[in-house]
Amino acid sequence: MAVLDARTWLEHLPPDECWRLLRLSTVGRLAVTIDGDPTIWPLNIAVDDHTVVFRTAPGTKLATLDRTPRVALEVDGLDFDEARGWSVVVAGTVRPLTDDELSSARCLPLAPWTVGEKPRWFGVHVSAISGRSIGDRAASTSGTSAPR
Amino acid sequence: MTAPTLVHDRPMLEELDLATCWALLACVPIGRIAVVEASDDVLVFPVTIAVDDHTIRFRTAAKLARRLAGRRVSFEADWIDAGSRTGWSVLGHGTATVAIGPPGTQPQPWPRGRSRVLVTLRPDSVTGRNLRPAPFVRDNRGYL
Repeated sequence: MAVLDARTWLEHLPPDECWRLLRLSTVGRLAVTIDGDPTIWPLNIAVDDHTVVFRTAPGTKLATLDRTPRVALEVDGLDFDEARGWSVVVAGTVRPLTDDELSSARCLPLAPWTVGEKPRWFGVHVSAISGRSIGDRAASTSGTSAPR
Repeated sequence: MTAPTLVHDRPMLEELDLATCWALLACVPIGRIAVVEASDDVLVFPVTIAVDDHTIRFRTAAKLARRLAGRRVSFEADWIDAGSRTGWSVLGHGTATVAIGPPGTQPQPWPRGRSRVLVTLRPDSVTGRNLRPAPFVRDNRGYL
């Protein structure tokens, strides 16, 4: 049962609804730490069981995630015109998928959007999930933002 | 010798110049803020933004503002259309400045509530990427 905050009119979403919305999302924003500073990467995601899976090419991202595996990830579905929508935030730890996880994850809809291979598969192992919505979110559950 | 036929079935990423980044930021009302906490945990949350004079402003509750004051923060905004796989994203970094904003200070957050603190971010770096549709390239193989 979602809880409505009487002061802000924000609805605090229960975990199962957060997971449902996360599973609908194809794009997430991964917040990570590089040399003590935060940075945010938008990337394609898919959820396998309770792990958020993404792919990347070898390079800076990879080196960073090895050193500072604690991350946060945000997804949302927003209707800019009506000022309504939802957001879900998870906290977790990133690590490369194991062979077992990889064989399962290969069935996920995670073909790279852009030119270039992304051979490295990672999973965000979720330690906390929370979500909020404002207004009627029925019209904004596609997992993508709409242009104003 | 004939050149090989190039077939791109996926979009390409291109870097955006600074002026384009700021112009795009002015087109969206929402961005995301990330901060590293003393515990080394990373926090990320969406905010309603106002962009003016190479400055990003947003309002938030005092409790959250205290965790941002004087800290290095990262800012991200995007518009991504999953259907056509096109869109853009802009990323900024800077130090957050926190002040008590007079009532009615823009931007007006979507949530209600009056105890809101104005957070100002003048990024020292802004970069952006454009996700362009795949160019049409003739494929001579004759099959899909």
